[in-house]
Amino acid sequence: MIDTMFAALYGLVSSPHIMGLMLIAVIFGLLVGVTPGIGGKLSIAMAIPFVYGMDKVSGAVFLLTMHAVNGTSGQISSIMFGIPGDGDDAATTLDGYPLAKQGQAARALGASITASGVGGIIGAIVFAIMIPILEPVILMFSPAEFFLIALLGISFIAFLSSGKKIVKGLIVGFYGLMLSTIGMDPITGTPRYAGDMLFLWDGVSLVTAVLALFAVPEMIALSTKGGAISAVPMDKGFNYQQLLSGVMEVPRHWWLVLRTSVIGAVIGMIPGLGGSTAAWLCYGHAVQSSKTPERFGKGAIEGVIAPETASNGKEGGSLLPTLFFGIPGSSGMAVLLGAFLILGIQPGATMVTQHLDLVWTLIWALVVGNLIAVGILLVVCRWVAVLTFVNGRYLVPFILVFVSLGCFVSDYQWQNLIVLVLFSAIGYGFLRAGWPRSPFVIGLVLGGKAEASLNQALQLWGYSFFLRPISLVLIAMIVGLMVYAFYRNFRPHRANSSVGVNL
Amino acid sequence: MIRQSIRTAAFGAAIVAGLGSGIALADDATDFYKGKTVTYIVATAPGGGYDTNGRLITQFMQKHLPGSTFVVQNMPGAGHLIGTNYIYASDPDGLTFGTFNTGLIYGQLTGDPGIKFDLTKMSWIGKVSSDPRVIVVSKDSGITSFDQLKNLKEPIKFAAAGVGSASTIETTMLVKTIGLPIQVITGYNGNEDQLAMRRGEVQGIVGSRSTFQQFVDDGNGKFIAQIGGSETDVPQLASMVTNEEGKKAIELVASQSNISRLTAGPAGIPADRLKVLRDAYAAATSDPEFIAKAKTLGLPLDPLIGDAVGDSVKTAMDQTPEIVQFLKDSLKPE
Amino acid sequence: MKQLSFSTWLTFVMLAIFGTMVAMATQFPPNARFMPFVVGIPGIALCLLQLGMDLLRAPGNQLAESFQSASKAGVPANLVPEEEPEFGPHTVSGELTMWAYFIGFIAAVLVFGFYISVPVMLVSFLRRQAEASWKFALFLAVAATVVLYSMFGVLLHVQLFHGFLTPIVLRALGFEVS
Repeated sequence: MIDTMFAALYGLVSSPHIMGLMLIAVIFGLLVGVTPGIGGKLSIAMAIPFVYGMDKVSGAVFLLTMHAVNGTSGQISSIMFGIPGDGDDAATTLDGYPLAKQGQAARALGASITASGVGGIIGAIVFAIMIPILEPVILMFSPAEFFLIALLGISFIAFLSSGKKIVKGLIVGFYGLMLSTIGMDPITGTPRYAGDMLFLWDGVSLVTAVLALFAVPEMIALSTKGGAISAVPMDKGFNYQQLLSGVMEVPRHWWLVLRTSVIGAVIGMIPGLGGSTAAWLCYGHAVQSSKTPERFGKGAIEGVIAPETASNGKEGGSLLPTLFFGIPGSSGMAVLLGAFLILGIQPGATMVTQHLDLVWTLIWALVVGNLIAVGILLVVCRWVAVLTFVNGRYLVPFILVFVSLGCFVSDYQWQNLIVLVLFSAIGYGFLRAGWPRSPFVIGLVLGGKAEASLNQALQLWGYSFFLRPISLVLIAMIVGLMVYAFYRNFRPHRANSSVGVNL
Repeated sequence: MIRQSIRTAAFGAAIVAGLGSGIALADDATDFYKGKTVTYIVATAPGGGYDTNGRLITQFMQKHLPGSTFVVQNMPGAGHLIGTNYIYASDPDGLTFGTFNTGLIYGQLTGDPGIKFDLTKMSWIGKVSSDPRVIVVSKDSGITSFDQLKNLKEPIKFAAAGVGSASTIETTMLVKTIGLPIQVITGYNGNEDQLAMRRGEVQGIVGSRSTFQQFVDDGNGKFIAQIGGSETDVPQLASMVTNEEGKKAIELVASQSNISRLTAGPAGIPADRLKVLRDAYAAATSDPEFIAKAKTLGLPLDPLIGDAVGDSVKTAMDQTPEIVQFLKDSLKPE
Repeated sequence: MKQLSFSTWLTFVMLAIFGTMVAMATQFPPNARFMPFVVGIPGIALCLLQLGMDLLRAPGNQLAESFQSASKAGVPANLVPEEEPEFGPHTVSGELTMWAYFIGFIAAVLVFGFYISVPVMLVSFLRRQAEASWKFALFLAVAATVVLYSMFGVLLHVQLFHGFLTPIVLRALGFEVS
C-alpha cells in the first residue's frame, strides 16, 4: 500500500507531460471559476472532447485538477467585490468582503487561498484514510440522517444573528426557507408558486438568489456611496506583508482548519448532501464555536477560512463515492464520472482491488493541483487586490455585467434576470435596513433537502425514523445547539450592547 | 409505338430530372451546413447519460457533416420539459435539435400541462440504443424469482425517482396493473437508489438494464424480469404476466424503452435538410470510433434512423383510454 | 403618526410576502401545503413580533435607549441608521439613480441582448457616473465587449441571450439568425 502510494506520486511528478497538463488545467480552471454562474460543470463538460485522445491517467488527472481548482478561484470575486460565484462562495463573502472594505483584501485573500489549498489537501488525506472503511460509513447515512443534518444546518440560523437582531435574522432565515418551497414538491409533484413558469419548477436558481441578495445590494451601495471598495487608502508596501499575514492566519487557526476540512470531506463523501451544505455548516460551526461571535460578518478571518477549507475538503471527499460506487458525490463529480467512463475508467469495487495505483494518482493529483493553484493565486492576487482601491464607480458597471451574465448562464434562462431584479430589491432592503442576510442562503439551500429527506424518511419508516442511532445523535446535537443559542442570546449583555451580524 | 417511346423517354427524362434535382437539392442541403453552427440541446445538466451521449453524437455528426460546427447547449429543468419545449418551439431550419428523455411520452399521454410540444409531430433524426427495463432486487431481499415476488405476503419497498418522473410512472403503473405487493418510495435521484438498495432501505427497483448491469455484476442484486431487449438470460416479464392490463402496460413500457437516447428536432424541418441530418447521424452511429466510445459508456447500441423512430413514437403514443387512465391514476398520490 | 423607520417598512413588506405565500399555499394539495405552512406561519408570527417590538416601544424609553447605543455622541441612535450611516434621505436620489441603471440594463438585455446592452451601459455609466473621458469610456466598453465575445462566443460556444427585439430586426435586415 505504502509503496503504491509513493510510486503513484513519483509517477505523477516525474512525468513532464502530466505536469504540463496539470498546469494548463489549473490555469484554465482558475480562469473559468472566476466568473459567477459558469462554474465547474460546464467547463469540465467542454473539456471532455480535449481528453478524448489522451490516455486514461492523463485525461483523468487533467479533468480532476480542473475541477478541484474551479471552486478555488470563486473566492476572488467573493472577497473583493462581494460577488459570490455560487452558494459556497456566499459564505466566504460574509466576512471576506468586509475585510476588503477595511483595506485588508490581501489578507483575506491570503487566508482564503491558503485555507482552500490546505482544505483540499486534508480532504485528500481523509479520502485516503477512509478507503478501507468507506463502505460501512456511507451506508450508515440514510434520508433520516440527511434530514437531521439539514435541520442542524438550519438551526445555525439562530447563531448567525444575535442580540437585538435575532428576530430579524430569523425572519430572513424563514424567508429563505419559504423560497426553497418554490418548485415541484417532493410528495405530490405540485409546482408550488410556479404554475406555468417552467423555469421555477426546479426551484429558484441558487446563483441568481445569491447574487441578488449579496452582490447587487453591495454594488448599488458602493456606487451610491462613492469612493472605493476599501475605505482605507492603499499603502504600496503594505500588500505583500498583508498577504503573508493572511497566509499565516491559517496555521494560527489550525484546529479550526482541521475540523472544518474533515467535516467538509465527510460531507463530501456522503452522496446526497451536496451543494453548499459543507461550506455553510462549517461557517455556522465557526460562529458557534468562537468565543467572540460578534466579530463574524464584520471581517472575522475565521469566517473566511472555515467555508473555504470545507468546500475544498468536500471535493476531495466526494471523489470517494464517485470512484468506488459510481455514485457522484457532487454535481461536479457527476460530470467527471461521465468523463471517466469515456476514458475507460470503470468506477466500482474493482478500483480498490485492481486499480489502486490510479486511485492514488488521482489523490495526489488533487493534492498537487491544489498546491499549484495556491501558488499561482498567491502570486496573482497581489495585482488583483489592487482593484479594491479603485474608485467604485469604475468597477460597478463591470460588476453589473458580471452579475447579469452569471445569473443568465447558470441555467440559460432569461427569466432569471427578472428574478434577479425582484430579489435584489428585497436583498437591498435587507442591506439598507441592517438586517443579516446570511440566514437566507442557509434557508434556501437546506430547506429543499430537508423537506425531501423528511418525506423519504417518513415513507420508509414512518415517524419512528429518528430512533436510528445516528439520528439520535444528530437530534441531541440540534437540541444542544438550540439550548446554547438560547443561553447566549438571553444572558445579560455587557454595557456596550451586542452588535449583530450585518450581512 | 412512337407514342410509347415518347412516353418512356418522357418518363425517363422525368426520372433523371427528378434524380438530378434530388441530388442538386441534397447538395444544396449539404452546402447549407457549411460554415453553419448547429445547436444541439441537451435537456439535462452537464454530466449524466444524456449529456455524455449528446456530446458524443455531436462530435461524430460534426465529423460527418463537413464544414459544420456543432455546439452543445444544456437546458436543464422541469424534468426535461424546458429543453424539449425549447426544441419544439425553435425555428425548423435544421440548425436546432437535441435530445431528451423518451419518458416524456408518458407526460404527453397524461396531458401534463407543462408540455408545449407534440412528440408525434417532431422531426425525428434517430436514436442510438435500446434500453430494456429490468426488475432488480437487492441481494438482501432474498428474492430470487419473479414468482416469488408476486407471491410475497408482506409488501416490499421499491425505489423510484421524483414524483412525476418516467421511472416513478413506470414503476407505479406496472405495480398497479400487474398487482404486485410493492410500496413505491419516491425521491431517489441519480444513483441514490443503488445506495438505498445496499443500505437495505428498499429491496428493489424498476430501472434500465444498462444502469444496473454493474450493480448486478458486482453481486449486489439480481435481475428477475426484463421488458424488451434481446438478452436471453433474464425472463421476459410479458411471459410471466397473464392479466390484460398488465400486458398492455408492459407493451407500453417496451415500446418506449426501445427508443433510447433519441435525437429530434422541431416539427417541419425541410425534407432535404432532414435527410442530410439523418445521413450524418447514420454515419456517426456506424463510425467505428463512435461504436468503440459508446461501448465504454456501457450503452447497448441499437441504432435506428429517421422515420422508423418517428413511427415507433407514434405507436407508443397510440394507447387505449384505459391505459391512459391507468397512467393518470398512477400519478395520483396514494 | 410616528415616522416609521425603513426597517419597520421592510417588516411590513416581509409580512405581506409571507402572508401571500401562505394564502397561495392553501390552494395546494394537503401534502404539498405542509412545508409552506411550517415555514410561513412562524414567518408571519416573527414579522408580527418584530413589528410589535418596533411600534410598541414607548417614545420616552425609545429616546433613552437610542442615546445609549448611539454611535455618534449627542445624536439618538434611531436617527443614525445602524451599520450604514450613509443611508438616509440624502442618499435616496443616488440610490434611485443606481437602481435606474440596474433595471434599465436588465431591460435592455431582455430586449436587445447582451452584446448591444453591455457596451451601451458601460459607456453611459462610465461617462455620467464615473466622469470618465469619452475615449476611456469607449475604450473600456469596446474592450469589455470583445472579451465577452471571445470568452463566450468563441471559446465556450455559449450563446448569450440575444434579446427579444434584436433577432426580429436582424432578420428584417436580411441576416440569418440561428
